[in-house]
Amino acid sequence: MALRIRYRMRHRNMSKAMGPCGGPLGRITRLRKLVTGVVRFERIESVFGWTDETRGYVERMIQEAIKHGDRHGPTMELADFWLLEKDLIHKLFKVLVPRYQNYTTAFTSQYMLPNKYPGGKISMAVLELKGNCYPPIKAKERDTSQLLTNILLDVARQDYVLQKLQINNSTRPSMESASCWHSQNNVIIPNYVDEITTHINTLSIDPKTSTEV
Amino acid sequence: MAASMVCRVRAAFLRFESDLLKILGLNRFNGPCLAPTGVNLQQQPHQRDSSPGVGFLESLKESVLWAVPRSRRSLERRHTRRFQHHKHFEHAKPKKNIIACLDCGHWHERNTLCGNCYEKVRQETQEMIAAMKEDEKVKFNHPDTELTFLYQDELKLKDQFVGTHIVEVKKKRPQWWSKNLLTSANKR
Repeated sequence: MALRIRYRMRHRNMSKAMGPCGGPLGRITRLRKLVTGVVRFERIESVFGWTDETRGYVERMIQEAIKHGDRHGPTMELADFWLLEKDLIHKLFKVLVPRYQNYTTAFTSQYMLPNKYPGGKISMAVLELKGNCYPPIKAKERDTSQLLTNILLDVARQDYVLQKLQINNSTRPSMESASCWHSQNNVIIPNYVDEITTHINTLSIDPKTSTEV
Repeated sequence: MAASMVCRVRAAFLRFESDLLKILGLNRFNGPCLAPTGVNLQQQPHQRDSSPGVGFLESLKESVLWAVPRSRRSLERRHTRRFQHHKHFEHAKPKKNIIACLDCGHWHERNTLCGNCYEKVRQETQEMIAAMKEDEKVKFNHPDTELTFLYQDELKLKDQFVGTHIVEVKKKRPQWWSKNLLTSANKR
């Protein structure tokens, strides 16, 4: 099953995760601590690269728990490995699984924190589980679909799609498409234009926050 | 300076090598057997321009390839390196991604949160977590239900949250955090 977040093709090395010469074991130890922290406190601040790595593991762990439940051996072992504090295993299966049972989105949110000038290469980020009890990081969910730019872009997108489909439809009987395989072989192309225009009109555009990573 | 240092290092190396060979008893005299008297046939390893047979330590050194430029850098590459300003110029370049927060007006980079807005949220979160840590029932043994945080002026609403564990936060609810969030319809 796919994760509902963007993740890298390769894991980050996290070379100084548990001090110098920590190696892969240092990375895993740090990730376990962070995963434990997220599940316990539901909102943690850390280095962006580290939070991004933990996010994948947290999402996967919750996903597996939802899929298999708490009677499944391998899932229990997974939770036992990643959660260093064992009371959180109960929290995972009894609190988080019911909370996230019907979610269609990711279970975590991640936001970049500001750097005080001059800053450095490393940015901090805050990783939180959705549905937590704390004050929301983004107080207002701004609906940007009614901004003029977005309206114009939506219309432009519709026009472009229609244009493309009409070109495809119009080339069926004409001489211009002599090279077209379909016209040469008398293949019937179904008319998708009407279907897609009705689909576009029913589309709702979700407001996407630009600072959500 | 570097060349003289290399020579000194090399000389020290050769001296060490000859001493080591003497200690180990591997010092073999490689000169001719029949030789006129009065001539010093012993090798002088500390002389700069001596080039006798290669000792085993020096042969080790000679087999190591020191890094050296392989080809002449083109003019384009030289100019790119010198004039592209790719090193140590992060703070010399102007930042064009700074925007004003729509809620409070403070400046922040486009990809980050507003520092001013988040600071309030962070403070409040820390205080709630502190209250959670003080609660003995939650500290080391998280209950099997969700948590509800109730402030001092809301403790009378305990009955609304029967299925959850209530954590008391010993302060008033902050002005900027809406009370409406507590009703069961829009709890989260």
